[in-house]
Amino acid sequence: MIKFISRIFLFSVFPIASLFGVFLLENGTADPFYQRFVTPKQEALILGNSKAAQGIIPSIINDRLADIYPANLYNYSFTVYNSPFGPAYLESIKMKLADYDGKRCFIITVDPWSISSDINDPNNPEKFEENKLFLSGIKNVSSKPNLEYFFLWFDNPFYEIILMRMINQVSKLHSDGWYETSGNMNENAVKSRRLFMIDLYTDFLKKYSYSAERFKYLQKTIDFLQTRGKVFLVRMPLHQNLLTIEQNLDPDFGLRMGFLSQKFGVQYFDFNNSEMNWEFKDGLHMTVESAKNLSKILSNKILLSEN
Amino acid sequence: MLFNSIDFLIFLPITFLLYWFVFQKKLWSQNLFILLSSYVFYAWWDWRFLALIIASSVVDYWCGLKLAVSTKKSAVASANRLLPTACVKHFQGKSLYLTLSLIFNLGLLGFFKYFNFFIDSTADMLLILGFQPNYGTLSIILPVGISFYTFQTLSYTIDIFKGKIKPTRNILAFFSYVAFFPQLVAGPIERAGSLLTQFLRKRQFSYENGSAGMQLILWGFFKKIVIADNCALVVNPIFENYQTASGVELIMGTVLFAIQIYGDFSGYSDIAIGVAKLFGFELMSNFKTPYFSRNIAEFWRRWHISLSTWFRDYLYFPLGGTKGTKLNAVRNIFIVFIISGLWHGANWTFVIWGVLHAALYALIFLFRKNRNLNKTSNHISIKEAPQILLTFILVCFAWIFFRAESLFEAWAYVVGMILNPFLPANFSWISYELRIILLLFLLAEWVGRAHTTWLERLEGKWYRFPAYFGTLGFILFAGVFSESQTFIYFQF
Repeated sequence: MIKFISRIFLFSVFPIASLFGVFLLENGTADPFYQRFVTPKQEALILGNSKAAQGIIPSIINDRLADIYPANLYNYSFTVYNSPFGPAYLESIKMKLADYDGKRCFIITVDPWSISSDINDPNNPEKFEENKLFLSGIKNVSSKPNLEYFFLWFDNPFYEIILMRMINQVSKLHSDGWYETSGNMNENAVKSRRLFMIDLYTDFLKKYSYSAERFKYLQKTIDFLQTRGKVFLVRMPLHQNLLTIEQNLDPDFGLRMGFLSQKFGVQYFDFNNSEMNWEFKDGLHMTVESAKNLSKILSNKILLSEN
Repeated sequence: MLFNSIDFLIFLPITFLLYWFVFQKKLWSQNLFILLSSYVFYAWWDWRFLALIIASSVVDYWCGLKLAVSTKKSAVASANRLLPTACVKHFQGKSLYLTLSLIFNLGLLGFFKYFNFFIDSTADMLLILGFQPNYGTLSIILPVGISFYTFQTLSYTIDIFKGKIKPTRNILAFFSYVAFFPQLVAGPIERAGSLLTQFLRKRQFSYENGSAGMQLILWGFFKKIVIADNCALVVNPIFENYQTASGVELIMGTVLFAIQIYGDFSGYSDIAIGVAKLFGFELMSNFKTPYFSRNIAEFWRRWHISLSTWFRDYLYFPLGGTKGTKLNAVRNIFIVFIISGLWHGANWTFVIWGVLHAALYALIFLFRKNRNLNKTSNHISIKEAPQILLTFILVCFAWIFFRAESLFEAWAYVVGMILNPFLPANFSWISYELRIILLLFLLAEWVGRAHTTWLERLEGKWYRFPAYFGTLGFILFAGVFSESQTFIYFQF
């Protein structure tokens, strides 16, 4: 028996140690979310879906706001599937947020999708789709390596951690939470991706509708963060056709944001009203250059609001 | 609890160590520990359904004892040359307890698995006939493993009725036999004559047994986590988008599903048999490289052996088997395969799957090809590749009906394969890494076709250790670990 157990132990040590080593190699190239569950608790957060994840660069904003808000912002935005406003996202935010005594701000990006849900039962939090996804499942959002994420939510084989580290030149989740993606920016490729998105979101119009319950959770999120710092609401820019789809989803969205702005006394910046000529990879997600510009402009707006 | 879960990775070593270091002294303590561990294993999924297993155990334990008393009385009556009426009375008593066991077990199965199916099907039939049925269905959860443990306990009472085995008075051994956690939720479906007897004698640990068990567990995890779950990542989107997929993609989806379900289920069986070995038990082999079969009859001697032999012994032979006219034999073949299809799930797709296999099996029977292969031989030669390939294609075709959600979907899938062969196919769905892994798997299966696994063939050779490390490396680095990858046969 002792021989058996010792052989099993010896046999297991090397492979398990190697696996652990490989986990430590993940640097944001193999998975678009993992690094966000590895970093320590954060003092200030940027929230929203993939538009914010790719479109707001915390390091740029942090450099500019350092004098007023010394707490570094961290991009804790995911995707429209994973992080619409609801109980799962709010709980995860609470887990990720560190205590902090100094002055800090929070950026909450909003759009009609993040306050909509399944058209058949939009106001039942028990049926929110993200309940089955990782934000709801992960109980430890600051552990390196995060075994919970790897074993339960990492959809690819682990060899991809090494492979992607070597070959992935297209996407990377940075240490500040910004998800950088590049790729073919040829006009036809961009157009084709945009048409795909338009089809996809047109299809979503049949499946999703405004959810009063999610809107309540957006208010709970603001309420929770407002007691800890200054909150800014931001609507990310997007291509005109996709903006039209969003307006069809929730024609009253602007009014709702006006209501929130007034109720909580927060500033609301809608980048679709600006004159800037934003560039997108697919009509929805901004190019790296546009993301840099937006981050600078957003910093300026926040600075101006302080004066 | 799933075998491929972190919970089980913690559960297994703890139970193993407690079993051999704390509860090994007496037979009753070994059995008690197995029973409690098995109940914990099952309750991890839903503790409320433990009541069903316990109820099934109680009923069959009691029926078994009563059957034995009736058998004894019959024997005494015969020996004393009593009036035939006395014998008839005792036989009726015997039948009563068997009937009770059948009604209870099949009733459980019928209610939890088929209630809504029969209500829906009856309503559909009435609609076709022009009626407007006003009906409701119940929200019934299908208890995991119910089809497996009810069949296992049924075999116990039927075997006593037939006089093949004697009932046990050891209640702890019987309850442990019914709930034995390695094979509780997805088999192999063990007969009392084989497994229950092992609960009646104290188990001793042997290094060889433990080592063979670990080999099976290792290879089982490889099949499940590396082969089946990687195939699932390709198969699921193809079956979900069958309307837009090209013919070649649909064929690819079917072939990969065949590999997925084999990896999934035979992987589970290997792990179950391996875990049982760690605790000193021998379970029957459930798969013997079925995709190297040369015809459908041979396929069914190699695929899900514990179920196919169960149906053979408790349904096909009692129906008459091949005795009587050919028409009777063909009828029996269809009955067995249709019921086998329904056993897999309450859906017409499974019925059609059964009908397809029955038709293929009946053809083999009618052309007398059933017995012309050496049943026990595993030495399949490469010269037999055309027969193997044809059998594989036929099995794959039937899998479409098994995998599809509805008959409409299955039909549309088949039509798509035929009508859209020239649409551009996206081969990037199968990564180069997966192609290499599948080729290696095919090679390993071929090499190990005459053994339990290919790893067993390396026994005693120095390079077995690199082979173990390699297999474990594949599991850790090329496996899919996300939570959603449950075992397909859990739903049955």
